Amino acid sequence: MLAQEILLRAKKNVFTNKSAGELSKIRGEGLDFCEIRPYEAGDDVRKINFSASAKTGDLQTNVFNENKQINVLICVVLSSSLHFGSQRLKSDTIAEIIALLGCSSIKQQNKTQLLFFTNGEPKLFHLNNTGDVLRVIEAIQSWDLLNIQSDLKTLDNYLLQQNKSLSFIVGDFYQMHDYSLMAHKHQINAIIVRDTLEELPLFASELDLVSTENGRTIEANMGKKLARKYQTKLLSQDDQLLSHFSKHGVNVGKIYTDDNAFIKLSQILR
Amino acid sequence: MLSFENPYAFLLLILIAGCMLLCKEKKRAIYFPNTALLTSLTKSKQLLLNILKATSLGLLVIGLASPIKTQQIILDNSKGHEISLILDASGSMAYQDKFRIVKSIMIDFISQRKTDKLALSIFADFAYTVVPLTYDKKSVIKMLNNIEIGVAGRRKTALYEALFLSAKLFNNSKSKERIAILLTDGKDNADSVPLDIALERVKKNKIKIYTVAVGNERDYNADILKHIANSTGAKFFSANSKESIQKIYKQINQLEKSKINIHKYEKKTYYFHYPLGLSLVFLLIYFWRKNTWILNK
Repeated sequence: MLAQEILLRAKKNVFTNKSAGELSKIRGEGLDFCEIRPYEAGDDVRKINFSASAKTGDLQTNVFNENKQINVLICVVLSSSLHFGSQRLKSDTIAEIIALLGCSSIKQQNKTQLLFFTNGEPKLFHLNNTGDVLRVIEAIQSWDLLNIQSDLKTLDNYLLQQNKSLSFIVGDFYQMHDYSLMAHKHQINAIIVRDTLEELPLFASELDLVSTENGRTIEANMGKKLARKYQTKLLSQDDQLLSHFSKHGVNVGKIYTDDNAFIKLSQILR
Repeated sequence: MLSFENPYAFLLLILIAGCMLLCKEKKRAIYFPNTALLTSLTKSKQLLLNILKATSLGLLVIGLASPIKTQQIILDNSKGHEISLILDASGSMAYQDKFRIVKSIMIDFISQRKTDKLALSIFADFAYTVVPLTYDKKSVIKMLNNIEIGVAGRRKTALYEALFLSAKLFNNSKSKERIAILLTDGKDNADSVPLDIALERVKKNKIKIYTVAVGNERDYNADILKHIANSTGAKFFSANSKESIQKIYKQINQLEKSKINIHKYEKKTYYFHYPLGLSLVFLLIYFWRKNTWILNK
């Protein structure tokens, strides 16, 4: 799919969708009142609600939502395993997700950044307009994915150094990693991009499987039994990952290459 | 004994090993992610498949090398020689250890006559047949080893009787080559059978009598022994040492050479179907375990 086509689809979906102005769920220095709660040591004294304190007899403080303009960080974990897809490549689906998230964030006038994480230095893009989104789509489409490895440590280090933000981590999440530290600092949304065929590899004919990681040919006669065994093993690994995410309050969702990315993304981020 | 008819077929094992390592099956290939997990699942199955493949090909090669069991079988006895060994066991043979020397030379001679029928007769006071005509060389050698001087008496030498008795052994013979080797160190003094009658029977049965005289010339009658040999178309020999006796038997052996290859053949039992059958079984297991996509649909 062409980069322009991906962007147009995303723009159509995002800009024609009349959603209500969505409020941030992050509490902080904003104007939107959220709740009154008992004062705790370290709270800002300027936010003490005296009338509520007088009524209850204890000190009460106002809590506000974060400012509407928030930092949005889209982190794409690139790896050679993204060079796969039955209907379309996983990298194309990721490009579409980036386009949707980017356009949506631009529409809401958020400060949006996009980062590609590989085994080298992370590549940063500032998304101020749809032209920037197009550049990013073109960048991912021209990337030689087969020669790169994912590096989650760089992602960890980078996110820990950044201000609190709404972060989206997009990738196929084959590597197990501890996301607890970044989840503690940021509001994390993990978007797992997969293909149905890679989870249940039932092929219509006998094929040689070449590893995207090292280019080696695997002598695996993929029968129904082996495919099911592989699926069970993979799903149990995914279950471990999902329970890790849920333990640390990470919002997570899986998008397949044959899914409608916009609808699926809306469901995940609802 | 089990052997291989085409042992060079085992060289194919090198080719197979090389092929299994280098010539990979060509199929359409696609990139596939997360192969570490897939490899861990297929490792043991792939090992089993490789073992099955190698065993099946190895058994095919064994089948090609054709394991056989060879057995020599004598088909036509009539073309072999029939030899009667007539040995003097009188008391005089004990002198200068002649009897023991002659026995050992005769044993050598017997073991060289692989395809012939042999008989053994001895004489002293009287003559008797120790072993009639037989292919069983082992028995002849065993009996010859057990014979000692005195088993047929010590005093006399029934030479003509032994000749007559030996000639009788060939009564039912079908062989065209009938030979007797008479070894003595004395003169006939038993008078049990006249020489004429004995010779008549010998001639009737068409037997060649090689006569071998050992010891002192005064002790034996060389003329009579020559006459016996010449009248039957054979030869007379005389010897007074171990080496000369050995030479005589060698000479007789050369003169009466059997055409070995004509009379025998090799019976070969082939066993190639066993490795082939096993190979087929392993191949079937291989295809079953391989779980081809057609079987899985």
